[in-house]
Amino acid sequence: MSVSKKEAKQQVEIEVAEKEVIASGQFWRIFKRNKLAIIGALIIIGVVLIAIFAPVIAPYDPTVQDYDNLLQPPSLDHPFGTDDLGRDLFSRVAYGARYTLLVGIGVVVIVAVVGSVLGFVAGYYGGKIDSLIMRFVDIMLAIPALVLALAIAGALGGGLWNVIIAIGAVGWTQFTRIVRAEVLKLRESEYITAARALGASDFKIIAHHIAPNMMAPVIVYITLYVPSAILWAASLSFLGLGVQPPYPEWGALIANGRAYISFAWWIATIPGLAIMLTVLGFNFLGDGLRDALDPRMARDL
Amino acid sequence: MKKTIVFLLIFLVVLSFSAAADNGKIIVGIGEEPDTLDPNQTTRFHSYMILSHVVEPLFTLDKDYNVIPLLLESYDWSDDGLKMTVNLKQGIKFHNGAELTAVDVKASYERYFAMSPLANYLPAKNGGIYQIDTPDKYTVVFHFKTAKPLALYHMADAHVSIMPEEWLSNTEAEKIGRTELIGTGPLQLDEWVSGDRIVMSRFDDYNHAPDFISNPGPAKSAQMIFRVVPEDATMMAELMAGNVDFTFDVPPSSVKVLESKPDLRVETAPTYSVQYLAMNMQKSVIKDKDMRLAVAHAVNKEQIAKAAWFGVGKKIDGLINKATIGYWPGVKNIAYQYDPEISKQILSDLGWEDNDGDGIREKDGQKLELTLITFSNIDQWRKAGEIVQAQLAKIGIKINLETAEVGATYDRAETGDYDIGIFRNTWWLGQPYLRFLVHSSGIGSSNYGQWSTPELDKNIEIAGSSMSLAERTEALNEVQKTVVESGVWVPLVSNSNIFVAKDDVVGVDEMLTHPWWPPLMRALLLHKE
Repeated sequence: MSVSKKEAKQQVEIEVAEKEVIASGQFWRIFKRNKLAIIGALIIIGVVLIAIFAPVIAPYDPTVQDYDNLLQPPSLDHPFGTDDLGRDLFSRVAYGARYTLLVGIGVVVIVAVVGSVLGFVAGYYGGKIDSLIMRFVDIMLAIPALVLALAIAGALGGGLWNVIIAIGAVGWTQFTRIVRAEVLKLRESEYITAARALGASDFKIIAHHIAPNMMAPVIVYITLYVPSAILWAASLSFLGLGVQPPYPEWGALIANGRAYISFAWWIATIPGLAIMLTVLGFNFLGDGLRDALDPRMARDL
Repeated sequence: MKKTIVFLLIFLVVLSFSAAADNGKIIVGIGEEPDTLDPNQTTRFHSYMILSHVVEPLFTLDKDYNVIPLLLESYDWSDDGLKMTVNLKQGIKFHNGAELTAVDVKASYERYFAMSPLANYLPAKNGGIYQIDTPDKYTVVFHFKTAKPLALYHMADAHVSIMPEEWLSNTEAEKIGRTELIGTGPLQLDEWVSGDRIVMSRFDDYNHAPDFISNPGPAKSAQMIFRVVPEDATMMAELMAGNVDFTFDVPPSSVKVLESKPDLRVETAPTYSVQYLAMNMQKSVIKDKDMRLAVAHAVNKEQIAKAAWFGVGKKIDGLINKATIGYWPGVKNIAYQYDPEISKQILSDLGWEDNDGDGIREKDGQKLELTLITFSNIDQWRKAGEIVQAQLAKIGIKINLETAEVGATYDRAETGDYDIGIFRNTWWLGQPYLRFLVHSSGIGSSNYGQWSTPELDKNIEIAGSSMSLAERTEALNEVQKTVVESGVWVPLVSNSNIFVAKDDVVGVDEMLTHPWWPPLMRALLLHKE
């Protein structure tokens, strides 16, 4: 055996690359077949487009009050009706998509960054630092999540960014566990051992070999976590700790409409349906991604 | 055939029995569960309304706001106004069978002084009652340190109700107002299932109701059950389903819908409750009187009454309104009128201009942003907050609306952690109410504006202590004038009591002849035929 270190390393990289090509080909084949996943993706694209083009789509300013048109049922003028201050509900729901998506994405960014870093460190280095991080995770998981989020949001005060921080601060624990488990699995795989034997640095191993192989579970988890984040934010807004008026966050819209449910059903029901649809979209997409990225778990194989 | 007839008869008998049983019971929907029914401990409105069926004060108020005897035959003041002799009615029974006597009155007053957070006017510490004598079984003598012209009003408050001395001293403190409550009222407390219901039954020995009520006692309905229904939407559903016979706890927004239901009767009447804007004098921007006037002129009270209170509220000019004793009609001439142009002019004169075109004025690099706090869990206040936010946006002030539940909001109000707040207060007697809100002793607590003057303090004292009605009135008018002129408090809207009853509830007409539909009338009159 007279293969140089460099050649051996190239060989490892080529094998990894081939694996990814096969994987991505397979991914599209499986994903395409999953109709629900396609529907989910379309719903999310729809919501994103509504959020981006809200000023174009919305017929009215979502915060302008019209005291002569309180609690109007859906009509041609107001497709979703008006709320208790005469504001056009369609415009509010359209603008609300922005806050909802912003919360979903913001929380996921926090969760993914904090969770990945801690998960990598715990999984890759093991030992005392692993114990330390994971015991902290255990402690966090022992506290009821909604109570903790409420306490944090209560201490920080209401507002969009505080809601994102509060939910993010609660949500990173599960993510840390998942990342750590993946890292533990990958750390012992042969090509990592090989790379390490060839003298690759920790950073290089993590960046070039572990991270790319972690993408699949991370993407799936992120997609499945966005709907939870949206529901969390809606819960906090519903309890008055979320996005503050007059901004039309969907959870806040439901909270406002609750008092009128028996005679002006549209105020709470329509934002409720919007949340349901968005959450469903992310869940469908997440399931589809999981099936496609992880063929072992696919139902139809 | 015979069998069928027998069955039919049995069926009819059963039906009539069940109907009869139903007639003896009135179900009242309450939007908030009482904290306690101990009259000496609670400060809450719902607790007060419910315990008032069970326990009674010495005096009560008639339809014209006159203080009249309830548990006594007669009373007499000494010439110097420092001694009041009360002759109790004989034969009044407590729910435990004991007779009402002078020692019960003494024990109840002493417990009130010792425990109640609301005992301010009557106790010795503020020049009130320093000694209570009981020369015989039915005579009580109150000795006052100084003359207290409003004493009778305070003695008509159910927070100083009479409970049996023996029961008070032999009952564990935690049971009083929780599992047990003994008084002389028309209803007795049977059971309190926490979070669900409070059950009361008719006290058959009650017979001392004042003349303005057609039924001297006992109550017409055998039972009154107070069901806790904290959600507005649930209350509406229960009303429409016929599971609640009457309630006071529906939001103004529901009046129109409820009125359209043929089997429900909806009545509204003005209250002494006042919602107002308070401006925190500890905050630098709002401390400037011109700034406060800019805000005051930009607030359209009629819009708030219309949109937040759905027309079941009225624009008001003063901190105490028409339904409260001590109302000064002159206040309407000095109230700041809605005129956003004046506001804009003031702000420009102060140097606040919108130079960057974002709709918010700025000065020396600082944006004109203010924090507005109000209650999140009551729809009307959240909406009033959003309306004021929109109205002030029109003159270039950005309002950061921060809503939280009642307790958290009052905490911020008391400690002065806000710029502007929308709050409410409820009391039927002007002097103690204004003392609570604007006296310097309330700074750091109930004086949410965190502001007073020696002049204000002096007039509040005179309005509570002078023996001359003219002097008291003049002093109280002066307080109301200063309060409105200062712009620290901007009165907004007085809301209305809303009363919803099923159409088979009898006695509603007579109850509505009294301005506040007092609990005593409710307990004695309401029933089903």
